[in-house]
Amino acid sequence: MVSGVLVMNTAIVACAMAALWIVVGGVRHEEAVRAGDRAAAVVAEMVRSDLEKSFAEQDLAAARLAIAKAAHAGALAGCRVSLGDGAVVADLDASAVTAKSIPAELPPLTIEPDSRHTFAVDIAGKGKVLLTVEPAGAIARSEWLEYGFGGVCLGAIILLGVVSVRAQKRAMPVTMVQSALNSVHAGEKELAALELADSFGGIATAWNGMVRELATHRARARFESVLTRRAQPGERDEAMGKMVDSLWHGIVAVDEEMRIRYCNGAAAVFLSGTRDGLLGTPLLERIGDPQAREKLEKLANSKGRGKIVVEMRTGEGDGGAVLRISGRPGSGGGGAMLLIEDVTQQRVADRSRNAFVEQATHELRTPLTNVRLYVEALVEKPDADVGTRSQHLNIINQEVRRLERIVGDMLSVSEIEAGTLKLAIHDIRLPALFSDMEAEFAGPARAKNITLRFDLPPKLPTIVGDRDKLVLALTNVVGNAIKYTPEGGTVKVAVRADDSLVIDVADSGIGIAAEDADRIFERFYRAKDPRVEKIVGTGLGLALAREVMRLHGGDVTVQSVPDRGSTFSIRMPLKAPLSMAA
Amino acid sequence: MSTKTLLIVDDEACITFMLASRFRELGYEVITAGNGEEAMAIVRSLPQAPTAVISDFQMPRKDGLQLARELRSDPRTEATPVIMLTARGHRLSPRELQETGIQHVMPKPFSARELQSMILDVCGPAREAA
Repeated sequence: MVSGVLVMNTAIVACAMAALWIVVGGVRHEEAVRAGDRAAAVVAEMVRSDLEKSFAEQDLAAARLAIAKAAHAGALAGCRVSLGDGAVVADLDASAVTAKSIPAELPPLTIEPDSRHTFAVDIAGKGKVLLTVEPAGAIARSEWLEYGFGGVCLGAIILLGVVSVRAQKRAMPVTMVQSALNSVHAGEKELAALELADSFGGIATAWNGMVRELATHRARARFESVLTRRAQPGERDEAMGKMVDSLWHGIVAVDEEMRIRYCNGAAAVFLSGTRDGLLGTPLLERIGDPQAREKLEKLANSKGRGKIVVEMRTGEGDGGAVLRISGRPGSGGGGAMLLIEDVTQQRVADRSRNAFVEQATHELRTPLTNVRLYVEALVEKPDADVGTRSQHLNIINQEVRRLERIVGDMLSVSEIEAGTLKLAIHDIRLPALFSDMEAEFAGPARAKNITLRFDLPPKLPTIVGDRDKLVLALTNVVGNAIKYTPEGGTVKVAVRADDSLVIDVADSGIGIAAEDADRIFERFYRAKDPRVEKIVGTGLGLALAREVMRLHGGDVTVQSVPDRGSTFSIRMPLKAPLSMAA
Repeated sequence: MSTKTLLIVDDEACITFMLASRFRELGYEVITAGNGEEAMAIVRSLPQAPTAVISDFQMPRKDGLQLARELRSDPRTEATPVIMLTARGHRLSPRELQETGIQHVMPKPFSARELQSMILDVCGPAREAA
């Protein structure tokens, strides 16, 4: 490909040079001929008298000297004096001389002079000799040849340059291919790295096609080698068996009568049996849920069509699990493959989430209703007495704060979920913080006839932390205490500050069962106590409080006696831990 | 001349307070309760069944649904209309409505005027010639 283009380029340039040569050479030749002719005539005239003299004296040397002088003066290429019989008497080229002397009698001329290059010179009394001059035209031709040659050389150099640049361009893909080949060989790149950009045109297309074909072959070779390796009996079964056994999903193969032909470890656990004990037994005997059993029965009779998915509960109460069984009939030979997954956690999370959405909606709608009712009243009665107006405005204010808190909680939860909850660290004056809280909860406590008491030491230190987040945590814990304490109860907030800040929130509420005590800090978790279910809540408050306190290097813990009350302890170090220093 | 009695049940004191003062101004006699249990106790202690019951849906101890069921099963109150205030995102299911005989649902947040016109529809003006 490269050499073809090169030859073509060379031929084009050579033709152009030849044409130039012919045109220029022709012109120069014509001019030279004319100039040479004129010079020859002048020289013939110059030597005529000298020749007459030397012939008369029969002086050969003088004749030769004469033509040499004339040739020099006329810049002749050649000059010769010959007799009528052809004998050369004198010549610029001494070797061409044949006559050894000038004869006394001159033979008559046999060649008719043309008076252009051959002239007849009359030697008085003796006859005629022939003077032949080779004019400078001949010399011009040789010069022209030199120029021509030079031109050809120059052209050739330019041509070579052009060809070389083009060849280098053409050779670029080749260089790239070479370096890519080296990389592939060294294992640094995949075969795909060898592909050339389309901008390289036809070469790239052809090359890329070849590379792809090579890649296909290589992949096939690899695949075949894997197959060959797998085909090693024993080794393959063992490896596959181990792999399938270690799956946390249950895998069961049944025959056309739904008898278990294979099951892995997880499936044996889900079906409450052992791997070996289950082999050959009917699968449906292991399925307690009648609806699931009915659906699975159809699987055996579906003759290779369709996939079924059933969900069933196993066990009772909290120890129970939700299993999802997906079955697909075997192709051709009857029977079916079943996949058993434990989706208990997913279902719990789904339920929590749905409950959360419902609770959140409720939580938002209740303060919104209050705001709407009291604003409506104010709008309808612009002339209401000052006492009523201020009472309404207070309620609106309180409900807006409540909305703010709920929205704040939700935002914080989403921040915790996204891992973006950050603390804005400032100095916090504790006495002010607690008096704000006391004022905030006075209303709700009074509404339930609850005695709310804050027990603060006479002196409280200034701490460092995120005030808003700490208020959020405390509000949730104190708010919970009021929420879960029946009317007429007491809520006591006791604050200590020695090595660390400890806030104990003790209530005379419904208490928390031991099995719930561990889980109430989980997000969306709400205790199973029927009394709790009637109380609105998002299941987020405590999760949030714990997260916030842990970010401050502290924690929230609980001690509780059912039906007697609970004490939540909020702790945090007085000095900011290193993690908060930023 | 007979006065109509409304029983308003909600664990949100702000709501019962506002609704009570509004309907009292309109001339109704109003009794309030903080939950279903309290409401049932009041109903039993009354010499006459209330003209209508306005109840919240989600309340501690005994919720609105349970209250409505009990009212329906008591011969004295089986015909008493119940207006259910609900903050639940979705409406009550047809099954819940059928079981409890609830015919009127007012989703929260609602306007007191809307509730007022609903009460007017359900039990007429506060005072009318007997």
